[in-house]
Amino acid sequence: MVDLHAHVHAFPLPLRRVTAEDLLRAMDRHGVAVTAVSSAEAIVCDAETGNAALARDVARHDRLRGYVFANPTSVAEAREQVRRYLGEERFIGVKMYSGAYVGRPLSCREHLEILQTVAEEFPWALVLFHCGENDPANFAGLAEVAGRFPELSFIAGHMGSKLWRQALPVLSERANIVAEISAPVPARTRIEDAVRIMGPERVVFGSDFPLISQGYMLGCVRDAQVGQEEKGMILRRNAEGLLARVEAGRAGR
Amino acid sequence: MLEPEAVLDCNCLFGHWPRGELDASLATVLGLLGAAGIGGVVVGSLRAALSDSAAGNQEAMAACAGRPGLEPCAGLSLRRAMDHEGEVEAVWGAGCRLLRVFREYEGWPVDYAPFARTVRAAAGRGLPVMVAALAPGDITAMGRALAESAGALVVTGVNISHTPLVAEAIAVGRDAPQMYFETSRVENEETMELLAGELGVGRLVFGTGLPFQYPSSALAVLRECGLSREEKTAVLGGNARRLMGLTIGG
Repeated sequence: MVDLHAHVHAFPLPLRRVTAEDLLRAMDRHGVAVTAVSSAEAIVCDAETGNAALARDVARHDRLRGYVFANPTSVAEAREQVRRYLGEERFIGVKMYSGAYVGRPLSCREHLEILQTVAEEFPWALVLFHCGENDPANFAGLAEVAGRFPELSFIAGHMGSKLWRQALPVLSERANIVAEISAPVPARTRIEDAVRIMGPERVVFGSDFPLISQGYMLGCVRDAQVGQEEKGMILRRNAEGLLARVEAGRAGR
Repeated sequence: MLEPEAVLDCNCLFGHWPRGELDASLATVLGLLGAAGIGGVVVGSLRAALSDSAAGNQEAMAACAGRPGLEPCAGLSLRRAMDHEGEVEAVWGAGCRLLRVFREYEGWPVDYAPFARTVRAAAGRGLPVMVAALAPGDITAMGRALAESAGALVVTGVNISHTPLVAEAIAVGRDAPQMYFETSRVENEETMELLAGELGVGRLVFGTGLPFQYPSSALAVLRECGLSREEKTAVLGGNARRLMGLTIGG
């Protein structure tokens, strides 16, 4: 199995600071082979320190892949960090956020400038966007931005959260968006709806660990009324395809 | 893990869901519970939540009649009810041992006189009341309502990732020993262990959130967390049975 959405380090919540080793233990418990991860510290507080710590984490563990967090409040710093970390072997893409932590939407000028750099220099990179604000502007903004950068692959983290029924038809219109299933409420029919609207080849597993455990999200997949073939695509094969595209792009193939 | 008969889901509804986006029929709900390995359920009617509490409660009791492992959960509309004491007597007399109120559908705040009156009436019968925490401050207000009544509340909705309520639940729960927390929205093992450690295992009761939530998620967290087998047994059914005075399963 592959988890395309997890975090290490500390959130401002009553949870211990999570190390890469904690994450690997959780992966072993749940049979997850590879997890793509960003730094919570980078998102909620200090991008430079958090991204640097993440780089040390993924360099130590070959089952982890990294997303560099790009904070739009400083385009120059974000570009510098994107260039630095996407040049490292185990970084596969960029994490972007809207809402309270950064105070601006994905479609803001600063995000677009950063994405322009990614598209020009790292067109193979994945862009994991926090699509979980329970605000139609949040997923509509992702669809708009994905249309501007058709060469990039976007992952809609949380696929609209509570508004998934509204979000999925909008997200499905852009071929370069896949839906990532993690959500704070394990709402029935989310996965069935994603498979029906996006197509099973455009739905991927994510947990949002450590906020949500991999076991909690695997429970959703277990109960979803979709076929075993589709579950295999969600849990592993679709993500493997995305990671293979990253590797091929990085190798210049 | 425990035998299905030992697991008791205390957060489950069935019936007609008017938005039409999911099948909430009793057959579907029981099928999902069975597939997840959950053999006991305290189940209420969506009709009681959305329309006619009395008719819905009759529907829940009829659904449970003759089905081992099923116990009825009564529902009460606090937008409609005026004789709260009489309503409590009616559901107690009918054999229901859990009363659920529906602020998630009806929109009333915790600081709401009909809620306080219902909690007081239920306390007189030893009938626990299930109520949803929806936003920061809700559990704090529930603690005040409980302090005035000596009743028991079962609070749903405690989570850490969406509307973080865990720190508030612990702060209030330490001073409110009759406040219990239902676990279907506890999304990770560390939080389960934290709640058990800070409040005591006896304060946690298992639920699934059916028909709106996938049931295996909540079960997975309890299965994988660091509580002992005896502690898991208590959360998965023993605590709720003791609280409600039930004899099914276990």
